[in-house]
Amino acid sequence: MGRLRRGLDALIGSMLVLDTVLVYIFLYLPIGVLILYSFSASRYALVWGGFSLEAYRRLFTDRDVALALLNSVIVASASTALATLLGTMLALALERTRIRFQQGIEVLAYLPIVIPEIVMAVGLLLFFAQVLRPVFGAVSPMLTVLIGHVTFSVSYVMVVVRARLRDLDRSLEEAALDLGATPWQVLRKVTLPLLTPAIMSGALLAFTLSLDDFYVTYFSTTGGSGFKTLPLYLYALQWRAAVPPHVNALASLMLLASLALIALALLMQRKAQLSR
Amino acid sequence: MDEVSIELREISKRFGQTLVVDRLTLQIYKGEFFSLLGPSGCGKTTTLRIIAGFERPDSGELFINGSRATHIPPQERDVNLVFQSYALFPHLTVEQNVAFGLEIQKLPRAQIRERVGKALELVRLSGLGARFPHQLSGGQQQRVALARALVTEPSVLLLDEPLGALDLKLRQEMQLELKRLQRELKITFLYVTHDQEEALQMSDRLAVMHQGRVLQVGTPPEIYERPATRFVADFIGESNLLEGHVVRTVGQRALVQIGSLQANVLSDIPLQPHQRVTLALRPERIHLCPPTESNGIWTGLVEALFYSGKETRYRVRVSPEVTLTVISSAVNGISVGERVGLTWDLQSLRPIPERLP
Repeated sequence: MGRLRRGLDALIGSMLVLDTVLVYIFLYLPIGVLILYSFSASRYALVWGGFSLEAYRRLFTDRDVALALLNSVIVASASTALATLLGTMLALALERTRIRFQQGIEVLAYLPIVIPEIVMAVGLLLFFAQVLRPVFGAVSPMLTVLIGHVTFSVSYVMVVVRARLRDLDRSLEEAALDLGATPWQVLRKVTLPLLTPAIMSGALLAFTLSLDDFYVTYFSTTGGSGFKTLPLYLYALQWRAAVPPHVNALASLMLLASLALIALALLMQRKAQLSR
Repeated sequence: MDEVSIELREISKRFGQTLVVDRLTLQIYKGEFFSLLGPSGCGKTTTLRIIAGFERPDSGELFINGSRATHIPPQERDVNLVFQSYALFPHLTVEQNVAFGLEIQKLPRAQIRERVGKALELVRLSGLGARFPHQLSGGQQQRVALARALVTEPSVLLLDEPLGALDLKLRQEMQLELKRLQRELKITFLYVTHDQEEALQMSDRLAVMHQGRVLQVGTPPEIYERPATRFVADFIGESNLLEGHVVRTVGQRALVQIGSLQANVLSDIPLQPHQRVTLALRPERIHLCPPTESNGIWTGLVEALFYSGKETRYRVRVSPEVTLTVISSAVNGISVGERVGLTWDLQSLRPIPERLP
């Protein structure tokens, strides 16, 4: 009985290990292949032609790629700045004031995170075509993309900042008031410094989301304006008969950038927890 | 000691359906160490927060140093609060924490540095100025909180159970420290605590609170020796509470019937024959003696005995319906089942003027 039991336990143990390995292979094999093929010498993205840095060389000399990268960085920076400001203000308002219809307003603030992105995207398209253009005339596609990115980023920033705000000991702000600080001074000298790590990680999240967004960006460029961010550029390339190999190189570099941003965000949260 | 530092007039505060502070009226004098003492939920912290300005009373008026302060925001009140959680700013060093109030006042750098140095010296933390709060022990954090609240020289220091988080030894040390600070600075300390021993030891005067109301205000001996209500008699120290009725009175003396027993009472409140009355008798004011001795007031049977080193507690049945708790520090060889005589000084048996609560 004892031996059978031990044998069974060992079997289950090794199956769990196997299972874990398979899941990880399933998750990361495509990415591994992508990175491998970014070093291919072949003229086609989907064919292995021996090791080479040709794809990266081509990537860094391609004007279209440079333009798309510039667009992405401008949109991501501007939308991050705006979303961070608005999201932080929203978090402060929701957490620190009692207002009418509090619950309804809170649900509305979270909604952009849960509703399907395609719904947001189509809604934005309609809004730009039916409201923005008739009222303001032709609007630069960069501006519409920017507005689109802010709409979904605000909620993420708000969630991150608000979680920290809720953990914050209320008596810290009261102590500052008690020592003579005005509410504005309390915000500047106590609340915001203590929220900074959360605000920064919210901002990094917003930046990453903007950099990698496709649906909202695609629908916000209101079709055929020629304005491209990196994801749109990649998407356009893959319609060609022969996909060029620098697609793989570009995707690999975007992966690297996202990982770096996420690591930075985690590092900040870690630091914030230590100083608590 | 006659100048009033803080005055509350008929202050009431409700949270939802609960009346937390109920028509509270209180005067605290300048330079006094005053305690608000009561069990948790009695409204003492809310009262403190009303004085600090974090809660607005529903009705009543608050005066600080003679001027009306009911609607003045906390940052403009000449009172500082030491929080139970200390509420030290985690992103600032000890020095920056202490300097906070002075920087708000926009004092010159040199003056800020000097006063911060003095404040840290006052709480014996010189040399730790560059540390962050999380690098300090609980007792040290407590001292930083004190220095930060004292450095702006408020006329009143409010303390919300400031020693609650410290262990016993550190607590006793900080109690002495607080008394020393208060003597040196000569400012009003308003101290909130649920620890009756702490309140008795430290206060010039104290108020006992229960269910949002002040039951009694007085010096520690007044409160301990002459409790005004049953609650006070029982909450401050321990009391044997005896229900009886007055048989007859002669001047200030009254004879009270408690079940089958009788006792003489010296009363400073007027008593009438047949009046029902509650008597309080402190366990440590009862002396045990051999049952045959003629000065024994009552005799009884020792039912239980708890020896704890510095004192022994006895449960003594003196009549079918009455048992008394007796605390004695004497070593007297009495054991369970023995008959003993009980005596006390006449003034130790106190009628409680109010029957409620």
